[in-house]
Amino acid sequence: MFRVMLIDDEKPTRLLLRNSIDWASLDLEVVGEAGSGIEAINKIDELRPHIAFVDICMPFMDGIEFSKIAISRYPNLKIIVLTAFDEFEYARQCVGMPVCGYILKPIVRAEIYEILKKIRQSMRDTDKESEDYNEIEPTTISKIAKYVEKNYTDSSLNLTSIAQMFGFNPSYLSRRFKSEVGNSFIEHLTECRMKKAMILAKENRKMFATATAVGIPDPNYFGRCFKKYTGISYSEYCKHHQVHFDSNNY
Amino acid sequence: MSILKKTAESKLSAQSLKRKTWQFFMLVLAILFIIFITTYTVFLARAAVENEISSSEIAMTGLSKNMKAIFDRYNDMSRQIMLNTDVIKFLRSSEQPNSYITTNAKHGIISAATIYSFVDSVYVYRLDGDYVRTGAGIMLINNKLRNSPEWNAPLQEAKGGNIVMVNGGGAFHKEIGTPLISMARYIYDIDSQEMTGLLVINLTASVLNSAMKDQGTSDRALCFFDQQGNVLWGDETLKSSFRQQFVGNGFHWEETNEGAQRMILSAYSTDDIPIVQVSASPVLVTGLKSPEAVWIAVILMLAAIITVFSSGVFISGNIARPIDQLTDAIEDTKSEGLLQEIKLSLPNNEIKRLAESYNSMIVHINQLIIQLIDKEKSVQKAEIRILHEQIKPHFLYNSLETISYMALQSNAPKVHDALETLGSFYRNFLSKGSRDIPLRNEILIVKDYLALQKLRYGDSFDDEYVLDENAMDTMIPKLMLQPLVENSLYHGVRLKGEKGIIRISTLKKADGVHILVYDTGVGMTQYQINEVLSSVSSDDNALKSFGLKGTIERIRYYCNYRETILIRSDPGEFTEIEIIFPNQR
Repeated sequence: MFRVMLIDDEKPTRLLLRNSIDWASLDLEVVGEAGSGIEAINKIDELRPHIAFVDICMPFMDGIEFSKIAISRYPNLKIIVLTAFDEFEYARQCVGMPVCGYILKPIVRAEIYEILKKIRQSMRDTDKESEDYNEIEPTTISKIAKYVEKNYTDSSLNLTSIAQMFGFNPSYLSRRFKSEVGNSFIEHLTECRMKKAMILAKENRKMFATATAVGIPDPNYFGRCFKKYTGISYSEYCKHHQVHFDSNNY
Repeated sequence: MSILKKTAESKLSAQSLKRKTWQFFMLVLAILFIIFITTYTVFLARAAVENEISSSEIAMTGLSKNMKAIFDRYNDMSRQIMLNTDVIKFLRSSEQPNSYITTNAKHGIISAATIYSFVDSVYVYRLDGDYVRTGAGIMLINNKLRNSPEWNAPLQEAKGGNIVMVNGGGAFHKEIGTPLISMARYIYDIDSQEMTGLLVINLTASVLNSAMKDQGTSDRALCFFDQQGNVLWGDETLKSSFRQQFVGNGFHWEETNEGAQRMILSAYSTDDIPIVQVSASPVLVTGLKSPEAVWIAVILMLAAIITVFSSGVFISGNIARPIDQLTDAIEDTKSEGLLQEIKLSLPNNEIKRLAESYNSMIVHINQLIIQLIDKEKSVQKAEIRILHEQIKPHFLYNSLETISYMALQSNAPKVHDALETLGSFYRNFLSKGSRDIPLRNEILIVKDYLALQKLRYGDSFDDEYVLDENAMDTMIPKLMLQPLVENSLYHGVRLKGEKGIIRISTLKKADGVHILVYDTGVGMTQYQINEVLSSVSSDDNALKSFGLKGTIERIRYYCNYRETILIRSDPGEFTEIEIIFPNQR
């Protein structure tokens, strides 16, 4: 099974793609979705997709910027660009980038099958997993954890950039990180950010301001992360702690 | 049509310029002729008047000389009387002369006077008043006047010379009233030189007739007056023409009119003879029409005609004809597309400058045309963009996908299929607003269109495609094929009421790409085919078959109006529309 990631700010498009295509017949599996380039960048290290459907026009980080970063980390990643006709100027910027195909919106299944078949033929089963391991000292892992705790407000911080910075294979780093720290790298990073976010929420900061301050400039994605971490939405959390804060005052 | 008409009009006006020029020259010629004739006549008349005046003067002085010659002759007669011995005896006798002496003296006078005619009477007075006389008739003599110093003064002054008088200066009158011309002189003795008497010779006025004899047979009327204006002799019709200022004034003339005839009235009188000559003669031009004058007139006239004619030729050759050429050249510039500049070799003058300024105007007009076209194009582009904006494809596409997912969730795969087809149709249909698309995409539009129409009309038709892969990348104007297919569906297959076939074929051939739309519908009559293919649209049918007709117009425009559309049909069986896209586009 090859892994597929769907990145589009339109949820119906993601859902339609996920549900209208018979992925299994092509030996494919949709392993995750992202509603923005930022979210996708944060998730990509965990999901490790072989194929990514990327919408060109997205807020906070458009498909092109995402593709550039993603390709720099995963040179073998197959990117299929989703675009409407009048975004052709965007699409033209993809020229020179290893983009495997364009799908025009609204999507037509026949066209997707056609492109996927073409891509599948160029992939080999051996591409599924190919990793080599470098030894990583436990002290290095704790160093990395510290670095993350210090620099989590940097929105470009992620597993791959850290791995490159310290000279390790990202996948291996991810596994070693988890076994050493107990949390995965992204969980650790998100935790750092959420802790800071909770502090800011208590100060009654607006969500989008908090999102930017903690290094997740996409407030939608931030909202999802916050809810997942705290169990309640940011606004509820604010309300709750506002009252508490006020009662403390009196 | 209108261009031809204008050409004819412009040629007409050019001709009329030519004709006007000629008319103008003819007019000038006529005026010139009239002026010439008038001037000639006036000069001629003036010359005739002058001629007549001078001839009158000659005549009058001639007459005067004749008259003097006559009086000289009678002067001789008076001398013979004075020298007659019997007359001298009568004058010398100291006492009262006896009848013998008197009779002798009388015979002496008669013998001296006998060879002279027109002598009415001769009187010879002695100082004592005694006298002899000859002549018949009763003479009334005023002796008191005759003896008065006033009467005698001129005679004393003449010292024996003759004095000419009328009616003896008033002293002698014929009883019957006929006028007399008198010559009177004192008589002096030859020996003693003492004054011895007075001689008076009375002549009848008809003596003047002999003076007129030399005047020939001209139209001149002549008359002699005394100083009081009484007619002595001559033409009585001139009686009223006497003026007091004629008297003693030498030659005098004035111009008069007698009816239409111009006359010269002239008079002559001298101090020594108390007779006024008056003449009237008509001014005659005929006498001056010499052959030379006529020749000069003719030559001058010919010169004028040649001058005018040659300037006419010059003007028509240098102005009218080049303008004609210019007009034709300007007509030619209108041939097609942008206006062409005139390429015509013209003489380097105003007309050439006219052509040059026309050319510069053409350049300017062409610039304006190009500007207009560019403007129109950009306006059209903007309008297409606005239309495209209004459709908001993003919104449409996202809505379609959302609804598609809803259909999928509701387990309605057919709805999903339909929505997918609709989305695909609109994607190609809008094509980001571009005008030309590959034939491949147009075929996709048609496929989606027919797929959607099948959803509406069920199994009422089948669509077939016979496609030549070599032709599929040809660029064609967007939505060129779809209206033809729509026409086949609505005006062909659907009207028949039974299941039909719509077949799209493409084929690349040497002369271009052929696209055929075939349907087994109701077909078209030849009249309908002609109606649809005719470029002129009657308003009634224009609305009905706008889709087909408008599309045909678009294709014709795209292919530069070459004959690129064929319609074949068998009414009730099939219709086939064939479009040929030439290679170069």
